[in-house]
Amino acid sequence: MAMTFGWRGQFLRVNLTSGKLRTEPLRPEEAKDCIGAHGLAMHLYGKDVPVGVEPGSAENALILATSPLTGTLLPNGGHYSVVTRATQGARLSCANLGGAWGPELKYAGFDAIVVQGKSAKPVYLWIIDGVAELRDAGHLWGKSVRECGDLLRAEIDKKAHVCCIGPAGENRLCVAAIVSDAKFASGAKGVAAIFGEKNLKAIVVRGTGGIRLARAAEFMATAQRLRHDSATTLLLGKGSRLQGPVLLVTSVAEDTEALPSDGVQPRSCFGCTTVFSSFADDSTGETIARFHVESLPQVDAGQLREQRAFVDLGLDYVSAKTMLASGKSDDTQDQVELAGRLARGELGEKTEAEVKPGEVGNSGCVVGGYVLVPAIATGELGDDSGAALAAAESAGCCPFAAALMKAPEIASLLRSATGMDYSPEDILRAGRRIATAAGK
Amino acid sequence: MGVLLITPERCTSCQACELACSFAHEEEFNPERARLSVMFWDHEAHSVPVMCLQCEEAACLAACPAQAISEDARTGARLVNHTRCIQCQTCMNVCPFGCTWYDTQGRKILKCDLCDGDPECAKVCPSGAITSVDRTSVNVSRRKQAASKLKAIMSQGIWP
Repeated sequence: MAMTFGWRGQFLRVNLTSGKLRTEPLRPEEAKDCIGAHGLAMHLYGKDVPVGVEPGSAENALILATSPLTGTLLPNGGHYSVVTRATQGARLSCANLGGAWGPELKYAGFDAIVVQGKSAKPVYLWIIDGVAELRDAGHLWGKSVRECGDLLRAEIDKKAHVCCIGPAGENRLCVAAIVSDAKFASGAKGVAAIFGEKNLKAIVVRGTGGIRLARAAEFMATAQRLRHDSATTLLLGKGSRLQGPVLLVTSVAEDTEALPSDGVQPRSCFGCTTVFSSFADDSTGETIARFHVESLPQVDAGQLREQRAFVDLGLDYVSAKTMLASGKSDDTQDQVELAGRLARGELGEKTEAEVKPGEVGNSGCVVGGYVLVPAIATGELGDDSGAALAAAESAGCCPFAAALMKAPEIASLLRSATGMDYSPEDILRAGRRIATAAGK
Repeated sequence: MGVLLITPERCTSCQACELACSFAHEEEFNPERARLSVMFWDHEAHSVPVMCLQCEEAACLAACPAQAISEDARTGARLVNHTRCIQCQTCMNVCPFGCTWYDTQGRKILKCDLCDGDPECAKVCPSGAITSVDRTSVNVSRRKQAASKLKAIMSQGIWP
């Protein structure tokens, strides 16, 4: 295989129906126009899947993709995307996840995974340094994400990283979330239900290879400047605002009464620089949220435990709460027990197939185990802030730091990383295309 | 002469130190080949970066049969001379901190060299969990913090 910079130059194709696995080359020249992550996943999906397939059919593909900058010192740059068709007739569903899973996939030698077909029984995919196999997941079915991760690490490799679904995803609930290393969850538009539909419980990766760059010094100069900026500037740019009920950030240990401010270490995603940052409302300049913790006196331990329980069941906290509130429950019931019944499909709630387009949005993500981060509202369709966010996410960057990652910065990092020619106009053009395709 | 100071309660487990280390020394982003490593206790939500502490009475230096490890008088680092090194891995066996190890990909001993006095890990650490400080001013901030408690008592006039 030819030497590639930034990219690892290959992706894994998995057919769950036949059980066949194949490594295919990913030519950087071909991937260049779609930046990576979101864009790359959509490109691979569009290439393989005919228009109009049913979300639940075997032809529907599930794509996990990284960017050429994932796993490097790009600030907040450990992100990867999961793209599939989760709702009939709607646009593709895109989830953006952090944690160390995406970088580990690249260290294992792959830029992306394309999952097609449908397994007859529960399986998980195990990838180590360029080698992959499908294994029986019968013993993992029904397990919470934390148990699933612990069991897999115990039986395979204690340094492996696990991306999996919980009982909610297995039961194909539209409010299910994919969870990365039991900490970082994304409930975007029912993507986890497609894991369940395909009987794919988890994808486990371990890699010891490295990512080489074309022009190291140039890359480091830009990356260091951005890392410094991200720690010192207020992060919300024009056109984006944080929405939602609470913003709690950092995490506390399992089975503890301790609150984040009780001297517990802050947790972050791989490569995160914003863990001590502030978020400001761009119209008033007022600090509305902070990633660390002392600023959140209103948070109580019970709330943190509840969020942890929802994530463990593979539920997306915000949309699951909304569903419980609007459904057959009342507030007096134990929310955690109700969530358990919801995740196991005992409440007879709507499944993925019945969801109407647009009904389940990207309702936020969970960072660091306990913490709920509401979704970021992006600009209007056609507005360049949407394109800029799509471009930053496609570059493997966290949406929270997207305000820093403007087109010239992304272009500069991609140029020095891959050695190919990217201009800021290329990045914006790609961002617009991706934003339109994602319906953002 | 600099020294690396670890403040583990500030570590967020982002692994930027490992990336910066492997990139500076091996020209690739690969936590597996870094000369320091972040240890995790995931369930307790703790992480601690560990690296060579450049012992004054360094076991690796004393044990090396090839005299391949020596002190850099300027930076204070214990350096491996890869030309002399016979890769017997005695240093790895005797290090009480487990911070010298063998790189199976590059076929050499990996040990912190303090980046010639300007450690990359400290430069990228976003939270100040790893800092590079001068040996003469090490822990001054912690001493000051401890002293400030006494100062507070004094200013209240309780202390005679």
